[in-house]
Amino acid sequence: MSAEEPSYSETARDGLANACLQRSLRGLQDQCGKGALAAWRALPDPTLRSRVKARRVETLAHLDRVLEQLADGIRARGGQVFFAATAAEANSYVLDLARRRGVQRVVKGKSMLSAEIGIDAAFGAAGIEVLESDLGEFIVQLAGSTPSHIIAPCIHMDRQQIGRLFADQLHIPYTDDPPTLTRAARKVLRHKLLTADMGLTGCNLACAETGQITLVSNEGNIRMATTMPRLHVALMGMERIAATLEDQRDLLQLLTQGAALQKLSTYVSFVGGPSKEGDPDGPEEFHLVIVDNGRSRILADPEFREVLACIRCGACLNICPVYGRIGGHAYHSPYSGPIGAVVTPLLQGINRHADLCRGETLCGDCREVCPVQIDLPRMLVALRHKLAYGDPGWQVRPYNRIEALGYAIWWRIVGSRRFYETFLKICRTLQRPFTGPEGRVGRLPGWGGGWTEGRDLPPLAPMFFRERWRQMYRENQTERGQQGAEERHHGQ
Amino acid sequence: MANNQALFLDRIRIALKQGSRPSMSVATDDKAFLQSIASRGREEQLLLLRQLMDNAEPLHLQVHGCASLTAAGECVAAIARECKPEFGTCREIVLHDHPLVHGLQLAPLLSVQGIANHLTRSGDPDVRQHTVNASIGITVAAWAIAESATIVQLTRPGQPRSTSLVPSIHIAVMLLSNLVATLAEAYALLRREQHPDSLVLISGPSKTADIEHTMVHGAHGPREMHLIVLTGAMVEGETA
Amino acid sequence: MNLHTPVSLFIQCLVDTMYPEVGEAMVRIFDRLGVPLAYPEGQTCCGQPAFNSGYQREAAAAARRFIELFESAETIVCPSGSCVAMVRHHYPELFRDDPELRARAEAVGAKTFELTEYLVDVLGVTDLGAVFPGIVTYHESCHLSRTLGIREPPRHLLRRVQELHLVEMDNSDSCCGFGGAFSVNYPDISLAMVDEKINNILKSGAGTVVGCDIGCLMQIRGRLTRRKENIRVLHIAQILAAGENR
Repeated sequence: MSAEEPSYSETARDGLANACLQRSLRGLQDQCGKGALAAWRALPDPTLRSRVKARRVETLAHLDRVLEQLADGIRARGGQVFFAATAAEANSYVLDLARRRGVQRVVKGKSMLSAEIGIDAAFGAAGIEVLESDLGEFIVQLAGSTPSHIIAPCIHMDRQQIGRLFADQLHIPYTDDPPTLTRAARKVLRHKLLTADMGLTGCNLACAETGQITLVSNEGNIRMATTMPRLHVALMGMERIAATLEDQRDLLQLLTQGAALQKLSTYVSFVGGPSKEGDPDGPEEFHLVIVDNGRSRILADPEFREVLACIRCGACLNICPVYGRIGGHAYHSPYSGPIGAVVTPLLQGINRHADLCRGETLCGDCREVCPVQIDLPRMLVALRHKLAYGDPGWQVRPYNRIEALGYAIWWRIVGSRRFYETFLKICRTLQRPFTGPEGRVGRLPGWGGGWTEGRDLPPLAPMFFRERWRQMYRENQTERGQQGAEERHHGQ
Repeated sequence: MANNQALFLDRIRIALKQGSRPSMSVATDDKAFLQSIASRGREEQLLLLRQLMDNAEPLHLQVHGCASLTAAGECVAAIARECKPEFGTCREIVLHDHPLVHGLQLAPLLSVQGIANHLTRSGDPDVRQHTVNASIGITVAAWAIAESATIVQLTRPGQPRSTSLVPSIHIAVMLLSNLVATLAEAYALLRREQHPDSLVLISGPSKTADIEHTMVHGAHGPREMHLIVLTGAMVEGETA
Repeated sequence: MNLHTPVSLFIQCLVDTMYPEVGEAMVRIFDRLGVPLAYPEGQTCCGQPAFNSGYQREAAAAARRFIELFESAETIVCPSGSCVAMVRHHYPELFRDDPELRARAEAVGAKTFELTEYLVDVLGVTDLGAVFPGIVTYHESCHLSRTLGIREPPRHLLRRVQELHLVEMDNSDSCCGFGGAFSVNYPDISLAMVDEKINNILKSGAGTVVGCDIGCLMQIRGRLTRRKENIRVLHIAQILAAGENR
């Protein structure tokens, strides 16, 4: 976390206080999160998800080969492929292309990778206009804010806020009617989409076998961005690739189901190269920029490799009880929710995002709902392990030496019956000043205050279980043991 | 450029720490799917059409079964009659340059209504402008998928992408015999087709629920979509 | 395993030190069934708090100690889904680089059971002759339901309790916001989650909420009393031990 950026907890508090966000998240989770779980339970083939997971892992183990096959296929179709090791390389390539081809306006289809590499700022510095075309992203861009969900970017805003925003920025009479607002955006964006020089999209799934990328959308903005401007640049995270058409089909159907309970999204575009001679539309040039930016490091670590199987459907956001309370801004990353909690520290720094590693309850809902069964809770614990002792391989410094000392002392105590009992008996005496008249602990000092801020605590019991056992049950237990032995002897 | 690729892929190979690896297994079930498609009779096709219509309804995709080319032509004319231009005042239609579209013989039907129509002929420099001005785009779907109410729109010379995207209303026309059951079947056909550069699967008009999770039909793509399925047994012969 | 198999009690730290009545209730249940009991007195903690916070060295040390203490037992029963999940699922992970310890961990895990799981799935018992008048709703803890897959046994048991009317709350298996250290490190989020859970409990119309994990119950009860709501919070052992002996 940089000094200027508010913390996870601070931004979480803002999210908790945002009534519109709370309502939207509740509705989204009730419908889409639970809906996805129900969809998986109703799958005619119950082994589908685990088979697809295994296939994803196998593909990652052959990633160099499938990427090579993809690049060959795209080039055979007349497209161009650039392999970008870093965000800087990717931005440099795209900006260079834009400059060479006199680009003044760029329209974007939704791309989290574009936010990850910070390409908007690069365009801005070069004086090139960049416009989000996805309605939610467009609204968020107008408001000067950032998305709070990877599929539904502006759920933190209500219709009145959006109405005021449109009245201010688009100069239309105020209305809070969603169809009217949508039509207004449709009109404004149509002109920009039809006159932009470059369309910039992400890539949902590439297919190595056919040498194409696939893009999904419901709005049609991505189709617009790949069809009308004379240049199309697609940014692709290197792991977002299926080896065969069958793999692509399985992943596509899991993606649209997990994201929005759809059999298929309204539009699924296959794009492989530029348009042909005589075509009135389609780009003159198609560029696929394949980005590493820290992914190869994740690939190299067997503990974390499976996180690259993610197809960015958002189902984990739609089920997570933590995300469901705090919303996406608290993650300070284009990737929020459970997937963001694992991928953001791995890509951008584990110490920097320590709160993302620690700020969950490990409830396991995300693992249950993931279409490719990624074990996110396991990886959160693995990240916490790195923060506990530090990790030179991942450049992690121990997060909190006092906490580490605390657990070292904890082991000393639980490692010995005698220390354990002595320590707890001392605590039992010391707790008296904190115990209220109703026998509950209402206020604890220091770290414990985190609990008692909003909750009571029971006091340590006047007799621990082991003390009661000794007192009342040891004799009975001997009797019972003898009885049991007799019964067995008589063959009962 | 080539250097970039080599370094990039090397980094991956190092990360994978792989010595020699067996190739990835490649299993296809195309034969079975192609067989299912080939063995389907007219009755089964009509059942698929019923399924398509049921699945299309919640997606606001309007499906019309027409027994003849004449009926299909009249269906298009009726939609054109109801249509009010969304952007601008001129009523214009763009049509794919495809034998099935020609077979509909729309020119007289549309001119009677005072609607200009323009074929999206390959190499014609005015197509783009006509498409932007048009209220309706008419295309031919290669196949449709009953389970998800999806059409498969291939990009071919004279059959450009923007016809099904830019005008406010999209009308797709197809033969009943090109209706398949599942996405898997459609992919088997795509593979046999040797996969064109550009294609799109379309399942209804464009939509968004970004504002307070309220569904609105008509985002950036067409706000209304029709699929005309030619069900007459004679039609195949006429358009061959 | 059957009713004659001696059960070694694994009474987790929170029950031992704060809710011993839950341990006593479990003893009464087994007494009623005539199950012989043992109690390895050296037990302290299974290591879960350290493990969840990432301190795997300390967790492994606690795990090794647990294995040594319990591996000679015939069967081990614990009134906690999360502690059983720790032993069954995470002990083998902790010792993945030590085949001998890993094998011992797996052997212990194979005979460690959560209370309701042991009663219903192992002993085949659902009617304990318990009596508990009232409307009761059941909170499903995360490790019990999702990690261990135990969803029906507690309900089977509650339905056989006389005069008890079981009602389901909305989202019975959504997390209560405890998460161990999370509840203290991220209190605002933890409170928002438990408030949601309590609202669902209130909406269900129940006068009592029951669960199988004491951490959850501590979280729920602690917030209920602060909100001055009059809902009883009980561990399932306490309900199953209630009423007359038959």
